[in-house]
Amino acid sequence: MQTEKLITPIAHAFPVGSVAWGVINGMQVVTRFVGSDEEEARKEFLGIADASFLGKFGVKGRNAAQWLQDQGIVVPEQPNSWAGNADGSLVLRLGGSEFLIENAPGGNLCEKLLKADAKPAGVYLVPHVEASFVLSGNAVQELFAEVCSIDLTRAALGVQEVVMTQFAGVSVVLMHQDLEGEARYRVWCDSSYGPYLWEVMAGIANEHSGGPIGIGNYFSAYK
Amino acid sequence: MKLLTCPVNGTRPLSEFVFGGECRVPPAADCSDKVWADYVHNRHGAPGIKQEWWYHAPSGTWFIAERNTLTDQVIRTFLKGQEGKQ
Amino acid sequence: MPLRLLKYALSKDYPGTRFFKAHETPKKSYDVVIIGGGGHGLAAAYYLAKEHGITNVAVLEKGYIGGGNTGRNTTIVRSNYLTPEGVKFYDASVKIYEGLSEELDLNLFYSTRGHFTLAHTESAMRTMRWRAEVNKHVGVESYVVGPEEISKACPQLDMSCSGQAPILGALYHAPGSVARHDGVAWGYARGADRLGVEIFQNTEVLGIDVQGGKVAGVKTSKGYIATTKVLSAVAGFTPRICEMVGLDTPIVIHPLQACVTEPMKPWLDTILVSGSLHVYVSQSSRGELVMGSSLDPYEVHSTRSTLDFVEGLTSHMLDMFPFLSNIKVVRQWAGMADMTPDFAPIMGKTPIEGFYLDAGWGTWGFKATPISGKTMAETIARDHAPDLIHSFRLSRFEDYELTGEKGAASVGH
Ligand SMILES: Cc1cc2nc3c(=O)[nH]c(=O)nc-3n(C[C@H](O)[C@H](O)[C@H](O)COP(=O)(O)OP(=O)(O)OC[C@H]3O[C@@H](n4cnc5c(N)ncnc54)[C@H](O)[C@@H]3O)c2cc1C
Repeated sequence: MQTEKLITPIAHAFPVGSVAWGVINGMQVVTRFVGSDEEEARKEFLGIADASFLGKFGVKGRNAAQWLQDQGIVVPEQPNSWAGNADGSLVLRLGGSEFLIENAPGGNLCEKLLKADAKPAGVYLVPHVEASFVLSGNAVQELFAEVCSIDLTRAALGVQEVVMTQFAGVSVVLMHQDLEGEARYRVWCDSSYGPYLWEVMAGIANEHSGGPIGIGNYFSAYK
Repeated sequence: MKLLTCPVNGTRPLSEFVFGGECRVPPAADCSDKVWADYVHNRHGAPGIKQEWWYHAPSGTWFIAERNTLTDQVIRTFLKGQEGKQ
Repeated sequence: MPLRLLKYALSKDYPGTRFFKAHETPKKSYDVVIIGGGGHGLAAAYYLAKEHGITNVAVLEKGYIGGGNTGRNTTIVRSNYLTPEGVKFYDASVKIYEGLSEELDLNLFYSTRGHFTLAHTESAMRTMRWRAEVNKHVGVESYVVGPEEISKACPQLDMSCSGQAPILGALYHAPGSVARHDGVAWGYARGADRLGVEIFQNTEVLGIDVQGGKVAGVKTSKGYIATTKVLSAVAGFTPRICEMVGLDTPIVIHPLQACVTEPMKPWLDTILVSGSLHVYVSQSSRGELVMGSSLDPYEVHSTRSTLDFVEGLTSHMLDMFPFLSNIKVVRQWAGMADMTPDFAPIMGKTPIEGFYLDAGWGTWGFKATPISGKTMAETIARDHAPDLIHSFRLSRFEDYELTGEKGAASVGH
């Protein structure tokens, strides 16, 4: 029997050769694009990293919020807002009754939820295999202004808001988070558009002296 | 850039939305073939204020917009069943 | 020429002969009243007079003739459709067009360019092969060509489309042409006028008088006109006219936009259409690139144009022709397209006696102007639609006998 190898949905956009590949959470990903000093510098200007390997879990339906609470998950109260669990995992409320949960780096909450007892009526699983990104840096607003028509400044976003909009014609989910003491943005999109959106965003990042960097720059667990 | 307001996600460029046609009520299932064909094919094509289905693609939200098809002015948007609510 | 100019300058009255008489007040009654002074209404009037001897006809136009979609279209004439009934019908129109300048004694700048429908995917290639076979079967010159032939006909074309959508081949259609659209309206108007038809501009139809299921007359901004036969040839206004007689149709109005660049030296001989990139282009006899795209995505009864349209269109044009990046778009506009679900027209009789419909011309009706005029004239004169337009009757919807023309009509008009 052959063991299946997962590969990041963004793989097609990555250059062959020069970059260093590794396996995180069972998925082949690029762990380093350039030297670590240069990646540090890129991160300050406009860094972009691939976080597609983080486990995801989705659920929707009229009883979804209650069921999540029963599992000990923090449920954001407002539609289109997010909350963090104690272990660092994210809970995004997409609209009124749909939720996206993403593992903390190194965590396995989603796997546990998947194995949890039979779901009651009014709770439906939604499979999630999005491409996901982390963005940071001084020029991040310039990037948003180029790819998106709505105001995504921190003031406009509020603290716990989740925005569903389009980047360069592709539907995305976006939120802002302070992580390990720094401001970052998280973006998710349909995995089939992953390479396209990566190319668009990495291209803009390059123009602002930034560019692709390994995920270890954002999550010390993967340094 | 034209804008439309999704009742859940707020005001967005029109390019984020998909038009779903006029809200229509199907005739009873035991209606005549003629009535059914009329429902399937014919539309109220003349301009006026109409209630229409619209879809906010990034979030998957279907809602209703009341719009003047002559002037393209949107009078209000709401979720189905929440017509009166603010 | 200078002498003639002098004559114009010195004379008190306008010394030239007008194209048609400027009638002001309609008579009390006519044998036939035609609503809409676009190409279709005027052509129907012309053939009623010429081929059926019916000359007691009024054409009522609320604005000026040719001011509707006739004067807004991108003038592509072709017959490489998908369904046999469509190909036969449009082919008959192309044949009339080829001799129309002579017949109307007016240079319509009818220019046969050859027409390429580009295919960027295997599934598009399949549709092209299908269309080529249907066309051949009906005797229309269309065949599938490979990238070399396209490159030869248009060396300026980036065959990879900026690497986004490489061109695999095309449907080539030799008779594809362009013409001067307002010339068509004016030529038919003059022809009809000479045969006794009366054309009224600035005359709006406000209501239609139906008694006992039969047409009795029309109410206009210039008073009531008695008649037993009314032809509605109003394209984007069809639902409003149909509402006057209580007739529901499948027609929905969507704006269709187009634009032109500043004039250039002639370089583009052919007409190019790309369904995948949602653009088509030809070069006019003035040197402008005439460009268009698919429909606006939702119903609006307005001819306002949008910036989104030019932005989207030009970005795709640059995929095909990167060297155009410094060329300016100088004009854009929109028309109201009367769309049907099967991308075919609605022509012929209706449940109301004496009310005839020539509509559902959507984005494709300019090329049909001569043949629709001819067949509608026959329908009105004989109160019976000829076989050529049987498939386009309004009752096809009730019979679930829709045509399937979408694959050949959604981007290439
Ligand atoms: C941007 C664009 C590009 C196109 N490109 C092509 C193309 O390349 N090839 C092609 O074959 N077709 C094309 N078309 C479609 C084509 O233009 C139309 O189908 C065709 O011109 C319709 O002609 P018509 O005479 O029926 O209507 P119109 O020319 O629209 O004439 C209808 C007339 O009726 C008048 N009217 C309306 N209501 C009333 C009333 N109540 N009383 C009196 N008068 C009234 C209007 O003022 C108007 O002048 C295009 C259309 C558009 C908008």
